[in-house]
Formats: sequence, C-alpha cells, structure tokens
Amino acid sequence: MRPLQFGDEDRSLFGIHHSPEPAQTGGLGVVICAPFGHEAIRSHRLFRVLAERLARAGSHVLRFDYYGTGDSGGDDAEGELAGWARDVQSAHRELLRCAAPGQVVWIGARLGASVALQAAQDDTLALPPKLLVFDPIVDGKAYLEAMRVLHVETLEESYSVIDPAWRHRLDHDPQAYLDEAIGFAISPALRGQLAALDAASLTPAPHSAVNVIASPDDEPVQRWVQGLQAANAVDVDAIALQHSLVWTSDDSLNSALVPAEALQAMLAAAGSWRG
Amino acid sequence: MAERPVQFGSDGHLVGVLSLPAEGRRSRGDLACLMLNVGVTHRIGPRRVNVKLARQLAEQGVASLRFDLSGIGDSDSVRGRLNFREQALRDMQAAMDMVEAETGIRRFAVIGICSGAVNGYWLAQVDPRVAGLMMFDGFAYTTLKTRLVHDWLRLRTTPWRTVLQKVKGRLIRSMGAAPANQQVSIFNVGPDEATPTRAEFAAALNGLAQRGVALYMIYSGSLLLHFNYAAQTHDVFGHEPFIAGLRHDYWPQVDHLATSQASQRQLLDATCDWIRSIVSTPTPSAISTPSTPDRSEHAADTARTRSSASAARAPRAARP
Repeated sequence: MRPLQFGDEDRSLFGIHHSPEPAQTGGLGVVICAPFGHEAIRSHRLFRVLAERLARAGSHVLRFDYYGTGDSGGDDAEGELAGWARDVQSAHRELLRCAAPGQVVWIGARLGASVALQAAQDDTLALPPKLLVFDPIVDGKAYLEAMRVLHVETLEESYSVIDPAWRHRLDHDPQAYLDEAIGFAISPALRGQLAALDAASLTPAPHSAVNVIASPDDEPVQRWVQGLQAANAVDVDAIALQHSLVWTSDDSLNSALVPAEALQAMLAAAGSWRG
Repeated sequence: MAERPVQFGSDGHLVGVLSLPAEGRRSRGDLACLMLNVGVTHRIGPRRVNVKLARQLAEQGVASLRFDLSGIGDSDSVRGRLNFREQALRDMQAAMDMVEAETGIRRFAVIGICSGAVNGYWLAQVDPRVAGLMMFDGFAYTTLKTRLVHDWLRLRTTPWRTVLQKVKGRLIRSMGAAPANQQVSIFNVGPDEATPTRAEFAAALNGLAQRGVALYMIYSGSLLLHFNYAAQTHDVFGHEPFIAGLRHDYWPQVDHLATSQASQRQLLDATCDWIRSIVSTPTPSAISTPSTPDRSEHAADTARTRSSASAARAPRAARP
C-alpha cells in the first residue's frame, strides 16, 4: 500500500494505491469513488478493507480524496460535482499510468456513485471503465433535504442541551442549513449542482456496463435502473441488497464499520469482471 | 504550504501527511504540531478538522503531522505484545522521530481531541520533546456543583411526568450514590483502571508544568454529566501548582466534534492562537533522549523511520 499525490499541481489529489502481491501489471484495475462528507469518514474503513481484498485477489486499486475533501488540496467550499468528476477521470489516468490494467472498474458509493456515473459519460476516456455503483444518489433535491435534517439531528444528539431554535429554523426556514452538512461546508455551486442532480443526469455512456447495488426498497434507484433497462442502451445489472450500513451514523456507535454483506456484494460484483 | 504523504514506523506501517509552511513563512520557533486520531476516525479528524487545522497552522508558519496510529485509518497493525497504550506511545514517538528527521524540529505541541487527548496525556509524560499539550474533551473531574448543574439543566428540559419518575428512581438509587469529586472516564460510565485518579492527573500535570510544558484544556458542550460550568477546572484543581499556567476554556456552544462551521472556526482559531503563544517559547528543560520501554528498539525504529520517510516521496504524476 502506497500513499501518493497526483493530479495537476494546482489541484493536488491524495490517494492510496493498493498493489497486488506479487507485483504485476495488467489485470483488473479499480478506482474507488468515495461518498461525500460525513459519509466518507463513516465508510473509510469499509473501502480500505475492500481495496485490500481486491488487491489480494490480484487487482490494482486506487482510493482517493476528491479536491476539497480528505487529504486532497482545497477547502471544503471548493468542492463541487463537475470538479469531482474530473478528479475521478484524473484518478483513472493515474491508475492507467502506474498499473497498466487490462480493464478498469470504478466503484462508487452514494454521491461518489453519482459522480462516477457523470464522469463516465465522457466517451473520450482511454480504456472506458465498467461501473459498480452502490446506493447511488439519483435525487439531488431529496439528498440536500435529507442532509439538512441530518445536520440538525446531529446537533441535537451531539449537544447535552438542545437548542429548540435549531429545529424551529429547520421547520420554518427552507434556506436554513443549506450551506453546511454535518461539519462540511457546502458551496452555492455544489448546492446548485445537487439540486439539479436527477436520474436523467445519470445516464451512462452508451454501451457502458453498470452493476447497481441497492436496496429493493429504494424506490428512486429502482425506478432509475428500470428506466435504463427499458432504454436498452446500457448493460445494467441490478443487485438487490439489504445491508446494515448506515451511511450517516457516527462511526463509533452501534453500527458495523465494515458490514460483511456490503463488502461481499461489492467483491462479488467487481470479481465478475475480472475475467 | 506543502503537504506530502509519509510512511514511517517500525515496519513502515504508519501513514500520515506532513504539512510544511511555505519557504519564507516558516516561524522562527522550533515547534511542530502532532495531531492524533479521534476514536477510529482516520487522520483527517472528525469533520476534516485536522486538515483544516494543519493548513491554518501552516499559514502561520508552523509545521504539523497528522497520522494514523497502528490499526487505525490507513496504518497497518503490527505484530507484537504491546498493549494499545504502549503501541500508541511507540507510534507517536516514531511520528516525532520522523518529523525531527525531516525538518530538524525537536519540540512538539500535541493536539488531542477525545481519545487523542488521552493519548497525548500519556505521551507528554514520557517524552521530553512534548512542549505543549492540548486536551479537548479529555479526562474530566467533577464536583458537587457539576452534578447540581447537570440536574438543573436536565430539569429545565424534561417533561414534569418524566421528572417525577426520575426523582423516584434517584431516591431509590441514592443509597449507593458515588461521592462528588470522583474521576470520570469520558468513555465509560464510571471510573476504570485506565483513567487516572484526580490526584494522579494533578500530579502528572504538575510534573508537566514543572518541565515547562504548555497546557491547554478545553471542554465542549457535549459532556453535561462530566463538565458543565466554566469554573469547574479551577474548583477541582484550584490549589494545584499547574493551574497558574494552565490555559483552559469551557465552550458550551461548541460540541464534541465541532459539527457546525462556527464551532470549527472557534476551535481552529483558539488552537492556532495557543500555538502562536508557545511557538517561540523555549522549554526550560534541556531536551534529552525520550524514555521508552526498550531504548535499543527505539533506536532501531528511528533508523527504519528515516529510511521509510525517504522512500515515501513517490514521484508526482507529470502534467498531461
């Protein structure tokens, strides 16, 4: 495992490259596209374990932080979807440079899945990736609203004395808590992009291959998958999974850090492309 | 400012990010900051606060290292017979060794939140390179007033029927109530052998103060049962020598993980202000070889650390 920096000098990205042992080139390369904000911290361990297992099975894996997140350059408020899509493409090129894989899979979770889907719409990419998306965000407006509510719930759980003004603002001011979510600033640019994020903006490039892991109860995602299957321009495979991972939970409280069922589902789906 | 990933430690198993101020902005003081894990959160810290702090410190000319202890974040575990605290101490000392090898800096301010405060507390006692220790929501010691304030604040926000039930339960339990001034672990309901007693804690801080270590204790608004009024530290430790030089704050408007942007600004600004106050202050004691369980193993770790830190400078990708 090797920590590294890549990308342009004015857009430095931090990553971790997991190499198979013994060292080899070719084979399957994997780029992991993490969720946003608190969800990224919550799932850090899950994706580290996933990367290690994939490397043990012979894949080169690159985990990385988008610009304005994690250990990458940039402040919170500099993060936005279009830039993050370019970061995914940059990670893809870095993986091609250092591993020369024969095939690449992008594994994206939550907003990372949505970013990966948008990044993959660029049909000029060398060695276009297959996509494995886990609980993608297909309704940006609903996601923004959920983050507002979760921000206030987090405040109420975190403080010993709850200020009723938080809940009052949430309930009566639709503009409240749109510029931050559980410790992370959200820029107006990102807010606008999230508000515009919908199923129509997540159509993969024609002839792509996409595996979708999601709960069968996730109606927006299931509708999106059915729409793609009906359009028949993309090879879409839906994998139903009920899992115990609460993306937004505190990572120290009563919620498995690495739910086995989620890990196994991603390993199996990625492995099916190993060939 | 320049940041780069580093790998160090006995097996090259520890991962961190070294933040260095830009040339021309480096402070004249010989001090770097060490930022520790908070629980199982990786080195960026909750809400990415360690990253934000590192960059703000770099702006004022101070280097820092945020890294993952063995088995946390991106650092591997190590085989061995050391318990968690012993391994954490070894990891933190390896971190200081690496920064010293890379920068020549030999004085460190340790910034610890929650479990990081606990780890920093133990490190400061064994390594004379620690010149400053900040403990945010670390060990807390209560008074009778702590209990009364807690009960009053709960009473104000609890429906009266619930209050009556709780009073009834309290009367029944009061036969075995713990005395005031008990030590309380922030992780457990009651005292445990990992938590120093009030007297042990005071003795440790007195020793650090005598060594010239700058001390800063902050408590948030998330510890109602354990810390809930501004004068609590003074009420518990008012007669101890270390209190004279102690910087301490109680921030009921800031929560344990600095969730809101306003909370983060307060935490970051106060931390940087404290660092600014100590960066040019030499520690009175001469800095000597740190104490470790096995000096020969520490020397070997240092040699491996130097080797790993150099190897971690992987080439950046060329511009397309």
